[in-house]
Amino acid sequence: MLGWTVFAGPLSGHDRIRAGFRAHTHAPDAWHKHLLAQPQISLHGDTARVHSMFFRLDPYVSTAGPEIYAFGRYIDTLLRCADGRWRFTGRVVEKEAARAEAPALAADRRTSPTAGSLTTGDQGADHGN
Amino acid sequence: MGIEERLKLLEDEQSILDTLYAYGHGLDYGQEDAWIDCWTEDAVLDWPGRAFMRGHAELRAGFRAHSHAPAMYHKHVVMAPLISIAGDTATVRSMFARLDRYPDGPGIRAFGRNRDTLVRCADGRWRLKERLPEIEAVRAQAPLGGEPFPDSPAMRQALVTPAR
Repeated sequence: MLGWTVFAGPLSGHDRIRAGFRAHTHAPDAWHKHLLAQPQISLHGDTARVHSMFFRLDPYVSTAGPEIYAFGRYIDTLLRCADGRWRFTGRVVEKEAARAEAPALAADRRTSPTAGSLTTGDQGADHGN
Repeated sequence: MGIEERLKLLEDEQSILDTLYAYGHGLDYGQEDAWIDCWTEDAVLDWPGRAFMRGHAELRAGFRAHSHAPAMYHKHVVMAPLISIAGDTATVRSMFARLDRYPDGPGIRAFGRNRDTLVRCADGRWRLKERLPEIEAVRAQAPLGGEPFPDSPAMRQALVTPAR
């Protein structure tokens, strides 16, 4: 289950998450960086809960340079799978701040803004996750 | 170095990171007890331009005077920690940046370096005994819902002459 603010509800299952991935911008059409910092990991046997901070960098026309598009917090749950790898069972995205201007290279590909209830902040438009 | 010593070193480094991370999460989300638990009883926090804090009571007062979510959203990000452990004491140099909300969107309010001393406590956890931040750059504009950086003589002096 993946909570993205640009979709009205959570994305459940590989098919919907794959559709979400395809609706997102990627290089070389749009260059951005999804950065994660300070993961607080709580292990409980074969499950884990992780709180981390995120911020996304994008290029902008108005400033002629890279800026922070958004920042916020990820609330994740993970599961140790049969093959030994840890995978997400859920990710909630709490977007706390976002730039109103559309990123320079993503402007023509962005998903239509339909901000969901997971948006924590109230600043700016929603140009994706 | 034997396998037990190498494992202990890794566990110590992870415990130190846990404390560095709990500082930012605690301050940003108002987790007062978790934040206070990052410090030893006699710990020192000396922010340039702000009141010198020593001990849990003064740290708690400083925490309560600070903004937190949901009243104000900001991020205390710590990066690139260089950890040096000698027995039960660790010296850590890390970079920090604080992100805030501005009218045009998210922006960097300040960046600099943390100079930390942590000690291994009786319960096995590493806690901050001293944090001496160096502020290297600040944004003059006040963030949404917040105040501009304190324009104190100590702050100006700190910006002109970063501490060692």
